[in-house]
Amino acid sequence: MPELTLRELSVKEHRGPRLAPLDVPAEGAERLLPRERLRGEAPALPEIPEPAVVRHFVNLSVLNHHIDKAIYPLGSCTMKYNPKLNDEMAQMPGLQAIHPLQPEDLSQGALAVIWELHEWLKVIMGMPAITTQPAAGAQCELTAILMTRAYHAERGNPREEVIVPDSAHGTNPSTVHQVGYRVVTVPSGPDGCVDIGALKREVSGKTAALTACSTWTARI
Amino acid sequence: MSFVGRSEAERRVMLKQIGAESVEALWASIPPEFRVQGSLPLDPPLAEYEITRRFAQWAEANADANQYACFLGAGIYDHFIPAAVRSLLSRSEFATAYTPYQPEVSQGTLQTIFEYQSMICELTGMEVANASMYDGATACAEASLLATGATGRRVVLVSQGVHPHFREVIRTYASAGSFDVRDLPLDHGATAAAGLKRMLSPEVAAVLWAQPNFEGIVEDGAALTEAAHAAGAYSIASADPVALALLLPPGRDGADIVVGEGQPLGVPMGYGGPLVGFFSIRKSDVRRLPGRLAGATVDLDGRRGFVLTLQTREQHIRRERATSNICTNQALMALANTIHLALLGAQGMRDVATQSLEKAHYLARRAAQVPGVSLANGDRAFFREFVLRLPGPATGFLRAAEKRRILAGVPLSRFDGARPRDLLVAATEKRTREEMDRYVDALAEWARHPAQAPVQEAACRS
Repeated sequence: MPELTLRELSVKEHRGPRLAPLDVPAEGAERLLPRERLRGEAPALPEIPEPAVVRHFVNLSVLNHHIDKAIYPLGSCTMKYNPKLNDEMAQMPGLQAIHPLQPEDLSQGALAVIWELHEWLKVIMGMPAITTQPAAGAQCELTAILMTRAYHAERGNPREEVIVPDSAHGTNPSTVHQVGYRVVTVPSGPDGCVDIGALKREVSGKTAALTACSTWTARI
Repeated sequence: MSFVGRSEAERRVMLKQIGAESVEALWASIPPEFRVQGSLPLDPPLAEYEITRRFAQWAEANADANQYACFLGAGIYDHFIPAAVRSLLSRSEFATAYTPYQPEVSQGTLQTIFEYQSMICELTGMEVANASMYDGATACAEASLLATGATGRRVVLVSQGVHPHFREVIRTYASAGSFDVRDLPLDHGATAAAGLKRMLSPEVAAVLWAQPNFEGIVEDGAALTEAAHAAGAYSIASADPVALALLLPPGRDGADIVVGEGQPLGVPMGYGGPLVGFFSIRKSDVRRLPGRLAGATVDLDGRRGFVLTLQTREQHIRRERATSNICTNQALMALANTIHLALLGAQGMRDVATQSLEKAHYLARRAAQVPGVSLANGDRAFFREFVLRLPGPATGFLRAAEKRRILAGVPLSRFDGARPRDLLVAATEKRTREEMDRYVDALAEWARHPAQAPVQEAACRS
């Protein structure tokens, strides 16, 4: 039988974890905020006791195939095994319960982790500088094409086209279009690599960049 | 740890099977100039317990919210996270599942996305929510792109009450020339209605505002939306999901797109990441929606199942004609939101919002009684965050408060050099009366001699 939805499991007045009692004098939302800005009734979120919530998500979880169960030979992005230690380290309170705007001298551990990672990735990539700010591979591409545009614009002409191999991930043409460039597609040869002859014919003074496969800019 | 624990004998069997003489021969098709010669100049690997030791040292070099009373907010908040969120999120079945392209082996992930979307719609008062975005900032940028595409206009008016970092991201997305951004000024912390009316024109695609805004102020979403609609523009709200348990959702103000940062719903602060954005719209815009969407359907035997739907909008099918370049969602963090909302439920979320509101007002009231200290935005209604105007540099008070194990707030000089004495202060349900009284004591002591406090600008430089 399929797992019910949260809405179907909800029973009015069931409650999850409770908060400690309010330890300051209660003024009431109606006194602190304009009445017309309040939503009245609480949002109709599920009302389910914790054990039932846990069972619901455990029941759903076992419907998934996942890499800890067996390999998953699919993907334009690949799913690799991650050592269990990684999660354990990332969940240390000293690395997890910290605010991004706390003073730098009280964040030296977090900054050291980021710096070490950058130093390693620079060696592995063979590049002199790095940012790990983008949130996903597709956003890395966006960052790269925006940087390309800024580079050319600073030299007086942002140019018009970006060359994308037909073997590139769908994000490549989509990103190029989002940054306002025309996509010029070059075919692959019989060996599966970019047809260099075709590429040479397409490159011109209008070309702003050639996108490589998304793995060049992928999320680590 | 070895990723490929193969013995020599196993290697030989595999090589024989594929007809290669050696591992070296297997790689012969890669030209030598493209191969790394030798090994990369990296430090040698560490044993697990050595790694643990090193990370423990790093963790100790941070001031965390378990040792310090954290009054920092500005978009990232120290809210209560039930233990069951982490426990369920850590399950291999969720944490190591691949993207749900094959629905028959991804029903768990797909149903949780469907449930996530349903609860986001309930909070925002909208009809359709997607499977999530990278974060609140990029959700705002994508909402701007949706509105400019839908209206065929190219100006987005962004309230200065929207997080300064969000505004930078929106400008970065706009820098490709796809739209123009103009700032909507604030009047005592709220988006100025008069200023908005002056700036509206037939070129304006959208008005983007925050609820509550960066300074904690509750905006009049109905008035902003009405003005935007009168000019034929979209009304886009960037909303705080905890506030939406108590405040009128922007959907009921008539907003066309409601986005926001989902971190307050069960995601640790994590020094700012990973985050998760939500994105909700009216049904009529569903074909313009960026990102993924999970839908319920029935299989051949009539049983309920879940799938990714309307994928013809997406980049892997439509390439350069896609609605956006986004090809994933922030799956695990969206799942944290889902479990968190399921656990806390209607009453729990209402309690979190109400306690945050009460505690922020308790602290604001007491702090404003300290001689020389006032509320920068006067008596404007606020939710769980407010701006204190101090009798000296805010960074000086930060240093004084740290000595009492208090992270006192975010100095607004970080974003605006003209506001050296303004401090953005947040209080969640986790802050205790004792912590807040300690805060006020520290403030009163510092305020007596504010000029003598050490001012270390470097501590707050971004």
